[in-house]
Amino acid sequence: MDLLQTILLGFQTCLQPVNLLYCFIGTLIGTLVGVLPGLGPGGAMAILLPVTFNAPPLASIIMLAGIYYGAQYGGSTTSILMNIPGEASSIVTCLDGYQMARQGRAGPALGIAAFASFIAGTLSTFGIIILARPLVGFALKFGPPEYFALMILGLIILSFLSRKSLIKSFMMVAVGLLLSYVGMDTMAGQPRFTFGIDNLLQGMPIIPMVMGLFGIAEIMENLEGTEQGSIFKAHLSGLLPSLKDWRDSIWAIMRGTIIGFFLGILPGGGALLGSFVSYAIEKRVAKHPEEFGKGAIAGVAAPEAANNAGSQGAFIPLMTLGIPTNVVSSILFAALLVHNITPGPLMLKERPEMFWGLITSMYVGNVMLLALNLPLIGIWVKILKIPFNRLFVLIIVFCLIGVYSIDSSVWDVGVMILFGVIGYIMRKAGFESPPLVLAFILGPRMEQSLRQSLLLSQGSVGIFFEKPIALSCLILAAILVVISFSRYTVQKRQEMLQED
Amino acid sequence: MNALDRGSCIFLLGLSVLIGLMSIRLGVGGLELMGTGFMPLLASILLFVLTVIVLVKGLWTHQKQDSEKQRHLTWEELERPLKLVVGLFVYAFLLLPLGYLITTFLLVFFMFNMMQPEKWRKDLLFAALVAAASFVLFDTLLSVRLPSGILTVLG
Repeated sequence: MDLLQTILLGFQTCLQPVNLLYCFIGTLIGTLVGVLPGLGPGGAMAILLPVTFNAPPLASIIMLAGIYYGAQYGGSTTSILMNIPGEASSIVTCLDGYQMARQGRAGPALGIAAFASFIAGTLSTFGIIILARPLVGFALKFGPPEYFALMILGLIILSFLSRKSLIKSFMMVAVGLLLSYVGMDTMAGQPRFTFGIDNLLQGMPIIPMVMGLFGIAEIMENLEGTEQGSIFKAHLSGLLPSLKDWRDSIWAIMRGTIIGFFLGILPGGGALLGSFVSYAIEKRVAKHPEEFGKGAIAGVAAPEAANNAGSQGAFIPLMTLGIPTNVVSSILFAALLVHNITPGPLMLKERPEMFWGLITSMYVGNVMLLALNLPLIGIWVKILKIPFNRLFVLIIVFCLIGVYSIDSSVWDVGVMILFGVIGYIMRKAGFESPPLVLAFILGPRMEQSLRQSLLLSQGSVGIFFEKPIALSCLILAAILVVISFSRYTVQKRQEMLQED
Repeated sequence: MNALDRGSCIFLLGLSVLIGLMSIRLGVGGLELMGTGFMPLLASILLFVLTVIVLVKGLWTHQKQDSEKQRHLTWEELERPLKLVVGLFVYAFLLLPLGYLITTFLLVFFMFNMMQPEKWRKDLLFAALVAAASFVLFDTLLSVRLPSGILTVLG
């Protein structure tokens, strides 16, 4: 199947009415989640996951993916109008976006954010189409030692990129691994850490756990405060950027797209890292760096392009290697497994319509998002006025029904509440949830890969050093660990924490 | 290092020791044939070592300035998250015996009332509306079987 055929197959699949409908719902919810500060795409995806159980598999995945990249679009609205990032990846957009709004240029700021996201999203979709096949070919060379080493690398990169204490991130990796070993050890047929509780024999349920850690914990944290940010009362006409705006931002969009896309592919990457790096690079290459932070349009365009490109690039490791590399792809991974689909190199061979359907749906979703975000910007601004004390009640009810509907089990409801409390305490004590969730997802696969590798080598750990891919991953992981604990990195991180 | 940091580290330390001991009891095996407890033991050792590092760093470096800078939550800030958790646990206990409609009505009223106690009449109405609308949407239209509880007698 050549490139054109694959694109046609993808569009043929994703343009089916049911897939279009789910794509629209996903992008709509994504924008809403992005606009509303306090609920992230991970939490929203976890909450909506049970709703997809009775839906067609591809449509479900298209919807969940739409929530993720849709949130990147919506996140810029609150950054520009309220100086509150709707998403972590929109933090940098606040710097120049809000300043533009203060100068009466909220319209062009919102406009360039939407166009930058669209351009980046479109180019990234084609980037995935071009890169997917060679990467799948590469992934087919992976055996148990390579997978084990890659998973170790993924966990270390995710911890390395954490915004809080590095040691605490590694601690969460260990806790995630321990939680993943609760239940029946399928290889030995022996229960582990079940404490005589029958419900634990099947392991800790992932969906209630994620909903608790992200959804409930987020709501609990939001309930602490009562204050709501004020919307900047700017005149919202003239959303289309002028020719000068385009001249000032087009190369920033291109650079942001490339940086965001490739940083998004990295294990532990995603939308966040690219937005920060692209802003820093734009500031460095700009003719007038002193304008950054004072309303430079390139300072809005670059991070918005990067976060959207990054959110799509993050699908590559999941789709080609079958390894989730951040929380969002972990939730997608769980969703695929629920529908009996194993993501990875064989997916392209066995379910090509699903593989290409999802990828091309991202382009369709980007077109929908442009339509949703430009002409309907006024509606999103009005939504910002819904009081949180009404909204959170509806989110809680949705969480409760969602988690109960998985298995008609009150146990799952209890697990969700418990992990909500744990997630809240973790936030207060400076522990991050993403490394825990990723380790939880990867734990059983890591154990299986290690077991198989050691069986193959008859107990020799040398197998990890004989395979070039495994060795490269382990060397890179070791370098990152050394860098993490170097005096310079520790000092920089402490400065960053103090700034936070 | 504040009390929450200390508390969480001591909890994690205890957890790692407990899981480590249980893993040994499960059987660690060897490199050629890993036992059921092999990976959990590795993870618990990692957790133990890292927790000790955090504890020692926190206790011995006497980062007084940092702990002074760290803001403690006030009771006013903690009150609503705590009330929510208690409400949710009570909901989980009552869901099967009382059924979805009654427990959800009570929970939603409790949550609305927690935010705006002065508007309780309006809250009662909203709570009834949310419980009924969500039941119709999920149970009737989307075929999610929600528990009927004591309302079963009504058919």
